[in-house]
Amino acid sequence: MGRALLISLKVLAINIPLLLFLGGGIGWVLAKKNFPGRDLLHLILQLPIILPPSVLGLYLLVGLGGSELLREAGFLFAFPAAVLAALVSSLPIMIQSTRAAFAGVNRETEEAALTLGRGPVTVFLKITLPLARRGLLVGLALSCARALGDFGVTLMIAGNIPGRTQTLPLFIYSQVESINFARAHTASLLLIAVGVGSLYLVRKLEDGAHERLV
Amino acid sequence: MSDWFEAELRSEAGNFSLDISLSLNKEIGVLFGPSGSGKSLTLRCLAGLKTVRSGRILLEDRVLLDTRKSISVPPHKRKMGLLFQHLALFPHLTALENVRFGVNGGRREEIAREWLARVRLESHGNHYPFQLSGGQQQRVALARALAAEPRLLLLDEPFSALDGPLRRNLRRELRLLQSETGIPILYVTHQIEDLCALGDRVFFIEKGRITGSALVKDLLNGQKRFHFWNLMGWGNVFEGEVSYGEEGYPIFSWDSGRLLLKETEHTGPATAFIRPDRIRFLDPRYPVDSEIAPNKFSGTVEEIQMEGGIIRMQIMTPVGLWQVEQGGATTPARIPDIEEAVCFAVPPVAIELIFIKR
Repeated sequence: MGRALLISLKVLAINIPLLLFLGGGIGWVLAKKNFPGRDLLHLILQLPIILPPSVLGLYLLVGLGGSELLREAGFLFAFPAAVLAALVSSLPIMIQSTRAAFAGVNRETEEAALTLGRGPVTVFLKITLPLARRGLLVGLALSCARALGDFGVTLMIAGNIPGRTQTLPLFIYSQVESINFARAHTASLLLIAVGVGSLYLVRKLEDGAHERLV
Repeated sequence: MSDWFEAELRSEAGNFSLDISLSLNKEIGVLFGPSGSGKSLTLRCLAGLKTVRSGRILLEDRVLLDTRKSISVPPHKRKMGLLFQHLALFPHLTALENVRFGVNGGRREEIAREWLARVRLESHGNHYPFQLSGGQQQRVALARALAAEPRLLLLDEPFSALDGPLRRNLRRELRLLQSETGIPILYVTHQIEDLCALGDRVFFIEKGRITGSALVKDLLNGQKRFHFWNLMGWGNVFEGEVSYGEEGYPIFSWDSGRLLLKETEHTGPATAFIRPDRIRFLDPRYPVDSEIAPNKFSGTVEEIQMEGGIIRMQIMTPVGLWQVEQGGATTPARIPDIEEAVCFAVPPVAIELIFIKR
């Protein structure tokens, strides 16, 4: 179980910065920029939430398998594919949360900061980001829990290779298959603890959000 | 004489078009007009927050906008402060941090403290905006805008949410700060009191066009004041006298009519201004609120204009022609016909008085 836990943590560690920058960036663009096709893009980016993981995995497999380069590099059924699988299933959650968080920052507040002579970058760092912070952290907590728990997409594109792509959820599956319930329970409890922990964090953050913003 | 600030703007928002040109010295200019006349849009265009179709803005000796030469200085480099109607204080920063945000140079903390002291909030530096009262928030917003050393300060009805005495105090403070700093101000309002108490120069705006401009002192006392009131083309204006009636209540009386007032500080010759949208249209079938009953008038509808959700009526009464606007929540259930007999009442709080100095 130690190896599966380690792989899960490694997948998560790589995913956190990706979620922050990619999810945060896309969320910001969707919230603050007006361009043709924005709503369509938003819809497409939300698709992974409602599609069955196996469907998502299948098309990722077909898409990635079609690329000579990725096949040669041994991307599929290896650790990078496990990272991608976790990202694909958790990114929409992060995008959704950050979009809401950035949209919740009053435009006039940002405009006031501009008219005080501060450039767009300073305004983003000093005003927009701190005001959206709680929403971003909520998104991060929820999407990390989702990334950690991914099963279907990982199985489809990374496989279930112990020591290489077997994350905790896949480990549980394998233990149940070999009727080793005790170890399955231990791993499950660990994941439950992470889930409950992140929900608790989200709750705390959302309570705190009402404090200052009257 | 060359002006400190000159602007020409043409812009569109939906089916509303704006075509404005104005110029100002180092003084307080008031942009006065009804709601929806394009006042706030004008300020947003000036500050660079809304792109304009064409236009030119000169401030001091800098060109901020010249669409023919493809010059458009971004908002943060215009040195134009904008005080929003809803203030837009930074909720996550303290009063001091709010003021410090726009201060330049090495003594930022010190300068921010000085500004807080100038608006008498030096002891509230560590308070967050939600811990301050409405008036205190206004003063923080004002200090924050001035501390950034703008070359022109734009104010978008920042006192509209406050009640009488507080408004008067803030107006006095704003005047004082303006004379101390010499920063010219363009102030947007649809309240006649603001105009008279604050402005040096007034620009009348209606449907996105400037319909005229005047010096406020001419508007109040000059020979031509009726000309200006007419120029405004909006509102009910009566020249008369404020006195205490037999029952001991203050009343405003003019040649043909009288209106019951709320409490008043002065008596004597005055001009009464009543915004058409504050007049209560009455349904003759229902009893009238006792507070407004003395100010009830009957007349016949002479003219009706529909604009957006607003019904504008000219009603002829024995005491003259009145402009009455109804819209939104006060829309009558049925739109009256021309020459129909109708009733309306003027709530005492809706009567704005300007006392004439002789």
